[in-house]
Amino acid sequence: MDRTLIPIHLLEGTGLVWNTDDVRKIRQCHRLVGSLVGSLPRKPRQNARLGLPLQLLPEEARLLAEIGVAVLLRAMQHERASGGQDEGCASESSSRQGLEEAPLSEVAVYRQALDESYEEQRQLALQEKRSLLEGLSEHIAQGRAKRRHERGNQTGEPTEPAHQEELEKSFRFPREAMMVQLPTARLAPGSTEVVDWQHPSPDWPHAGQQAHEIRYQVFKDLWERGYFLTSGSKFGGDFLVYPGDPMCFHAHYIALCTVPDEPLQLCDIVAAGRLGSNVKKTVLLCSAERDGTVTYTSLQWAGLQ
Amino acid sequence: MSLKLLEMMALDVADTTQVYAAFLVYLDLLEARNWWEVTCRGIAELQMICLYGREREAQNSQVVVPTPVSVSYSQERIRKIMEVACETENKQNTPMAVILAIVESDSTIVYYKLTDGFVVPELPDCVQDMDNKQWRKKRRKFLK
Repeated sequence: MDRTLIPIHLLEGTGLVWNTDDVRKIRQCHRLVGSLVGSLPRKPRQNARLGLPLQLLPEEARLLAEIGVAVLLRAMQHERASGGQDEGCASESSSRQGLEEAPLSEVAVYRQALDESYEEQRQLALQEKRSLLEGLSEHIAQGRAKRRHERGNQTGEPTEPAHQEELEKSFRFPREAMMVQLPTARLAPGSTEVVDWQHPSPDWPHAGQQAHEIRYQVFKDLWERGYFLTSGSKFGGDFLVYPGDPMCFHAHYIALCTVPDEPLQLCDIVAAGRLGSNVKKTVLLCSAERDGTVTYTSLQWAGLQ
Repeated sequence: MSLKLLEMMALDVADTTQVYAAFLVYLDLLEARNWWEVTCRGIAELQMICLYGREREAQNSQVVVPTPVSVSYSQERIRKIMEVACETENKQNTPMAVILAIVESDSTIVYYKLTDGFVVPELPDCVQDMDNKQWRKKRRKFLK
């Protein structure tokens, strides 16, 4: 596989990008936005700001594949795990057994690694405490001497608890204070297989579907005209069309894609137009012929006085 | 019965609901919106009556396509209407445009403008917006 191609991982027809550099490249070099859908590890209980993965519209994923900068992939492992039910009864029991064993040993390995990490961190914390005490030993001795002097030398011999062994015994490193690494990237990526976007498959069901083909032709034409596009579900359309990066601009158009001969109810046109004028956007009726020509009709409320 | 309605029916190009819609729009344009020189034209190719008139005296003529709300149009049909209805207008430098007048059974009429190609929406921060009530309310809140 070509290393320079951006891997787009398919999950039931949805394209996901898991690499930050790829996400940036898609936006900066190819003017495609997608939407970040992952929870941020450091801020999990909010959804105003999200992180990886970047979810791509089917049209975005196809465009990247078609212009030859990305490749659609499907996970082999995922297929095997979920496809187990479809196999025969005889093989099912054995595969299930295998499935049960694998996670158990994985858990054991994880626990063991945790224990090792805990012991390592405990030693480090102990060392730190020791060097801290050493650094302060003079100060401590002075304090003790002063106290002894104040009490008038009642106790006689000073106690010296700072012995190495004693410290090691009395030192408590609570397990809750242990640091645990949360990996934000997969350490060992599973095996993948390239998916052909030109043919429909369970991982890429869009190929050949009329709605997708029309949406894709419109998407590609608008993209080639230099517009930025995002999903239009926020305003009840197919796409929102921006004159520049959505971070800097409001959308100008709400694109509605329909098959050329599919009837549109007038009340739907009114609803779309009314919504568009309320949010100061032009509704764009888009349609694509079989030969690839795309027609655009702008729909606006005519406020006749 | 109004002479104009009889005249529209005599054109014999459209079904009665479209003729009635055209008549209601004709009245609305003339009586409520004070349009200038409104004329009607039967277009056999579309089986429709279209209206032509000027919103202001100094403005160019516009095409109005009256339609009952119950009808549905495909994008193909919309393109066809725009092409045929604008044929006589021979405006070379402006994109073809029609105003769709959608008529409810209680004679409510809403107007939507259809233009070929891309029409950039008006800027959201224009002076007109700063003058409206909501903005003033907001400003008052901030000044408190």
